[in-house]
Amino acid sequence: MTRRSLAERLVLAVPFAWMALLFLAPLAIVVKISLSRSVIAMPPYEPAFDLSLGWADALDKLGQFSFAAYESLFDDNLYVDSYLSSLRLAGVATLATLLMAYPMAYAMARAPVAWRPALVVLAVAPFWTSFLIRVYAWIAILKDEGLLNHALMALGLIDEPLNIFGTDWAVLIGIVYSYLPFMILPLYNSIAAQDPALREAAGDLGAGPMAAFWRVTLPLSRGGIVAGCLLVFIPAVGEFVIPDLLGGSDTLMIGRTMWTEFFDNRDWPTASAATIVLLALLLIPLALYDRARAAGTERVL
Amino acid sequence: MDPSAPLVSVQNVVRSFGGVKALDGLSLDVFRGEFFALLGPSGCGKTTLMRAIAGFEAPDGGRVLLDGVDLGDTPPHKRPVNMVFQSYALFPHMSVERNIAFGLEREGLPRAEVAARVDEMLTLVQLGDERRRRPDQLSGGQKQRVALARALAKRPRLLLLDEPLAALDRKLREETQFELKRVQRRLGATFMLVTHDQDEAMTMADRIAVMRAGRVEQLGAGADVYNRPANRWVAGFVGEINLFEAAATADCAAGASCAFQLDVGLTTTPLHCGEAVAKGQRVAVAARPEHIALSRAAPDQPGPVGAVSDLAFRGDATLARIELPSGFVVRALLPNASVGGARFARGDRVALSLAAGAATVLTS
Ligand SMILES: Nc1ncnc2c1ncn2[C@@H]1O[C@H](COP(=O)(O)OP(=O)(O)OP(=O)(O)O)[C@@H](O)[C@H]1O
Ligand SMILES: [Mg+2]
Repeated sequence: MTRRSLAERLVLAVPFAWMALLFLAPLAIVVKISLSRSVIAMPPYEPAFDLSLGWADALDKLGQFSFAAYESLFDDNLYVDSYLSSLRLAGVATLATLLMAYPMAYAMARAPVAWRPALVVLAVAPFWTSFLIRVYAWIAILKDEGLLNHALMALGLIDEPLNIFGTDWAVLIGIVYSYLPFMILPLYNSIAAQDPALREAAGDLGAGPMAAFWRVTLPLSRGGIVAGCLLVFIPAVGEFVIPDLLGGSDTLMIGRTMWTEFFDNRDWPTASAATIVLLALLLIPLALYDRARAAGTERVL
Repeated sequence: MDPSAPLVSVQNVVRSFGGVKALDGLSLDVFRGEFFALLGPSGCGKTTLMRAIAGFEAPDGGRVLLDGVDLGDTPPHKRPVNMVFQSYALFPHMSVERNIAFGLEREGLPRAEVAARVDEMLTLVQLGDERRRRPDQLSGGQKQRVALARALAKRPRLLLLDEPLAALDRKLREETQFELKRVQRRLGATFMLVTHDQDEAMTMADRIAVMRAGRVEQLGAGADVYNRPANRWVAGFVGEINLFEAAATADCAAGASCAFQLDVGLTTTPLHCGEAVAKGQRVAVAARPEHIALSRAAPDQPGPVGAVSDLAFRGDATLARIELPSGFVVRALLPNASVGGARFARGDRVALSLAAGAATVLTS
C-alpha cells in the first residue's frame, strides 16, 4: 500500500465532494420532505428544522417523520397508473428509438473515416437549439391542420387529418425525436470500435453480410445498445415537457402528475414520495444492467 | 482435373491505391499440397495479394484462378479459401469452440458433424482444455492456434496465413513454425504464408516468392533463392551477402562457367553463368559470408588484404568485418567449432579468398 500525498487526496476528494453536494444533498432533502406532512404554510410541510432552536428541538421533530405521503400514493389509482403508463410509454419509445438509431449509427460507423467527425456533429446538431423550442415546433408539425397532415393530404395518402397531436402517439414521436442522439452516440461508439477484421473474418468463414451482422456486429454492439437504452429510458420515464406540450389531457405520465402535485396542489411531501419511488423503480434496470455486465465477463455466449 | 495444374494461378494482377501500385502485374502459381511463402519487405504488397486471393480486394486488372476457375467477383464468403488474419480476428464474444464452429455452422453442417470437426481441430492444435475459454483468456500462442483451427476446420482448398507468427516471441515462434509444418503435412493442405522473416520462409516453405514493390523478383525453393539469387536486389535482401563488382575474363555462353576478375583484386575459380556474358562485361559476384575464407596476411601477400575492423560473436560462428584499403567492407563468417583454426583479433591484417564455385554471377 502506498501512502497518498495530500495533493492526491485532494484531487480524489473533488469528485466525491461534487457528488455529495449536487446529488446526495438534494436527495437527502427530497427524502426528508417525503417523510413530512403537508400543511398550508411556508414552507408547505412540517416539520421544518430550525437549528437556532437547538438540538433537542431537532430530535423532537425527527420523531414527527411519517410514511403518510407514501401511503397516500396508493389512496387512488392515479400514481400507480401514472407509473405504469410512464414505464410503458418510455419502454415503447426506447425500443422505437433503438430501431431508428441503429441503422443511423451503423451508417455513421461505416462511413469513410474522414466523414465521421462531421456526422457526429450532425447527430448532435439539434442540441444547438433549445429543447423547449424544438418540442414546440412539433406542435406545428403534428396538429390537425399541421405540416404533416397537409403533406399527407397533398400527397393523397389520407382524406381526413390524422389526429396525432394531443395523443400518446405525439408523446412517443416527441420522445423518439428528442432522445435520438443519446441512442446514436453510444451505438456509434460501440460499432466504430469494432475491429473491421472481425467482419472480414466472418465473411472469410462463410458468413454473408446478413449473417455477419447478426452473429458478429450486433452481439458486439450489445454494450452500446444497453447504454443507449438506459440513457433514453431513464429520463423518458420522468419526462414532463414532452407529455405536457404534445400529449393530451388523458396522457398520463408521472412527471406531469408530480408537477400537478407540487405546483397546483402544493403537496410537496406526496410529490417527493412519488419522486423517491420513481428513483427506486429506475434503479431496477440499472441494477439488472450491472448484474448482466458482471455476469457477462464470466459467461460465454 | 489435371493434378499437375496449379491450384491457384495469379495472373498479371494489378491493384493500385491512389497512385501506389500495391500489386504491379504480379503472376505466380501455387500447387496442391505445397507450402508456399511470400517473402518481401514491408509494403511490398504481400497482404494485398492475400486479400485479393481471399476476395477482400478487387484487382484493378488481371485474374485469380482457383482450380482453373476464375474467381472474378466471387465474394469472400463463397470462396473455398480461408485466411488466418495477422491480428487473428477471433470473435471476442465467443468461446474457443464457438469460434471454431462458426464457419462450419455457416455451411449448414449437421450439429453432430460440427461437434466432431471442432473436437478434431481442438485435438490438432492441442487446445482441448481451453475449449470454453474466451479469446481474452488465451495467450498469444493459443490465440494463434485458435485462428488456425478456425480456418482449417473449413477444410479450405487453400489456407492463407498473413504473418501469423509475427506477434509471438522467438521461442514460441519456432515451436509454432514446427507445428504449422506438422499440421500442413498431416492434412496434405496447401498453405500460403506471408512473412518478412527470411529464416521463417526458408524453414517452412517448399517454394518462396520474393516480392518487391508489387512484383515477384524470384520464385523458387529456399535453397535456390539463397544460393542462386536472381539479381542484386534478391541477393541483398535474402541473407547476408558480399557483392563484389567484377569483370568477365572471357566470353562465356549461358550455362557455361568462367572465371571473373573482382575489382578488389582477386580472380575467382570458374563460376556458373546463368546468362551469356561477354569478355570484360561488368557483373556483380555475390558471395555469402560463410564462403569467404581468411588467412593471416604475410607481409608481401598477393591479392586483397584488409584489416579486421569488427568481430561479432554469434554462438556457433563469428562474423568478421574486414575493411580493405579502398574502404570496401567484406563480411566473413568464421565457424567457432574449428578449434585448431586461426583466431583473429581486431586490427589483424588478413588475406581474403573465395571458396571454389561458391559465388553467384549477377548480371542485373
Ligand atoms: N487500403 C489501403 N489504402 C491505401 N493504401 C494501401 C491500402 N492497403 C495497402 N496499401 C498500400 O499498398 C502497399 C502494399 O501494402 P501491403 O499491406 O500489401 O504490404 P505488405 O507487404 O503486406 O506490408 P507489411 O509487411 O508491412 O504488412 C503499401 O504501400 C500500402 O501503403
Ligand atoms: Mg502485411
